[in-house]
Amino acid sequence: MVNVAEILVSGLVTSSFYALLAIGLTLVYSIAGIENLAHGSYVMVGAYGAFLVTQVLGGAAPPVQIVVSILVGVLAAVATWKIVVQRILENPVSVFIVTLLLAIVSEQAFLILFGSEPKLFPPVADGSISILGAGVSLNLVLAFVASWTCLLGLGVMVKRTQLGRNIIAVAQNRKAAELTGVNIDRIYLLVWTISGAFAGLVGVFYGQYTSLQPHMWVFPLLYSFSIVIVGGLGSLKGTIIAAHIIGFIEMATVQLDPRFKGVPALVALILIMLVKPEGLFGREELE
Amino acid sequence: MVRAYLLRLLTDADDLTNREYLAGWAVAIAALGILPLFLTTYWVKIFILANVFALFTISWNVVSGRTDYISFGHSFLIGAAGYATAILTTASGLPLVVALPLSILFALFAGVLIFIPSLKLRGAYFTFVTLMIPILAERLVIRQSDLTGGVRGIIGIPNLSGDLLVNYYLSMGLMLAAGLTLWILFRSDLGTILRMIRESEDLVENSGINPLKFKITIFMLSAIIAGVGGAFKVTYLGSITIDSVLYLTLSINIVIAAIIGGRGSVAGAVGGAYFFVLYEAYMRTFLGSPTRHLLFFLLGIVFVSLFPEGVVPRAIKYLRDRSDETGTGDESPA
Repeated sequence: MVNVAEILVSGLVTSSFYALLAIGLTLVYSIAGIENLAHGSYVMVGAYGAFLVTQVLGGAAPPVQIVVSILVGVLAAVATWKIVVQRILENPVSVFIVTLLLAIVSEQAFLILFGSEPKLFPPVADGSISILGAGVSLNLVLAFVASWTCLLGLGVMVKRTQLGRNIIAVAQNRKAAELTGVNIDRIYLLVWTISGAFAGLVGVFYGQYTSLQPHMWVFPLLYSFSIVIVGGLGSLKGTIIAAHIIGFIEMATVQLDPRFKGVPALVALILIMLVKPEGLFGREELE
Repeated sequence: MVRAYLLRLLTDADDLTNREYLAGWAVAIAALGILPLFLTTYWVKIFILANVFALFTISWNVVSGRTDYISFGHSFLIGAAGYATAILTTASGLPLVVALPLSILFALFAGVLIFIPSLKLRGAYFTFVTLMIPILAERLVIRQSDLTGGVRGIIGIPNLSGDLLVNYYLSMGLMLAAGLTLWILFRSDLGTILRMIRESEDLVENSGINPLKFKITIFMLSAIIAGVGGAFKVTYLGSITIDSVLYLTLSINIVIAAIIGGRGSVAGAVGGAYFFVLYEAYMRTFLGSPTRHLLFFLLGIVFVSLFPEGVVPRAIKYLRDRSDETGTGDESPA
């Protein structure tokens, strides 16, 4: 049975955290000009972080889970940047091979540490409410609110603060930005931090929405990758719109047959590359 | 003499005559040919697997060695041929003579699937889509377990030969044939065009050369070599599992082995493959498989970030620099 209200509500919610995930990827691309294939791993790291803190403390308050997942996400992203990517920035081919290997290494490491058994952990917020006749768990409501808070926060920062304008400046022209006195290294660090924080936060919600497995980085990477391409690299608005397109199609497909999970995103990615490689909203400067 | 010759062979591609190259190949063939005489059965088996793995790294090099189309989907080509062989010989009961060509044909079809993304996707996007193909294929194999045996695989696939040495020489022959193909490819005009495609595909197109033709050629050639390797591996082992031919980890190991050896070099492809298989064989006694994989992946990261050109090309460069310093090389008779 296809439940329209359910697709609508769950589509809106999942799209919001897909957007959060993809924004990080597109930000890093705009600034550093590289595609970070380890991006999906921060979701895994964030989810395991929240899970572990709950295990160790014997149950943790939602804010603790959220803070921990954001922290480990940031840690993983900054480590990717500082330890590896920064050194090979001038060779984009090496960057995407290495970041992909990093994702696989982290999968293997988590496999050794925690085993391959899928793990479940209690949702951040218990209970559910009814919206348009569809039961929505409070957990997803929280995910929706948190995602949009972050997205709008980022929007305000980029448009209204000096730091945000500096990010745009670096994205548009790194050399010129440097000449006008922008501290490039700090901007890089900031962008990777935002990217890791958002992905880690997504981890809390995504982990409860599926289950915790060492290879859970694959689908978040697939979603964020196709969203970024469909929306047009570097376009923040495009990313949010594309997240909703992919999110809704994905929800509708999974409702019809859960075995096709991920396939629409991949098809969308290939189709858009064949038909309109610059993305629906143009390959524009960061805006 | 020998040292000076080896140095010349390794360091200088330009002033060598065809005869000297031929001699180099002859030495390699002779060395590989007498190798099993000094080995126990266990190690002969390992070297057969090494030769098969070299087929995989050579196949990968055909596409990714000289271009920036880095494929993480090669296990899909190998798996396509492997599963075709397994199903055709067991469920359909076809003889190997019929099943093997059909399997390689099947690998060609699989090659088209890897090729299509390369029409428009570049760099990380191409790599990412090729990465997804084995992941999705793996799910398909598990879903169609009536046909594929699912996670447990298929057993009872007929061998080409029951004799270990025959299998060794077969694997060696296939590897040398593939190596020679790659070697000729890199030295032909096609090789030059591949390097141009790497620099700028648009520029190649603007200069009136259609890169599509060359891309199709290398993807199909690569699929054939991967198919031969996959089909041979399956008949040699007599069984098939997702892990042995299709699993994404296989693709990753191929890429890492080829990069450690040296992208775009035949000796690098073979050396990298041998290194990987021997590493696995040695480490098996000390380390469990996840740790072993983890270490190998880490090694891959170290190589890609610190020595992206790989061991063989680096060694060649080192030897060339040294022979430049010492003049024309070692002239004293040895």
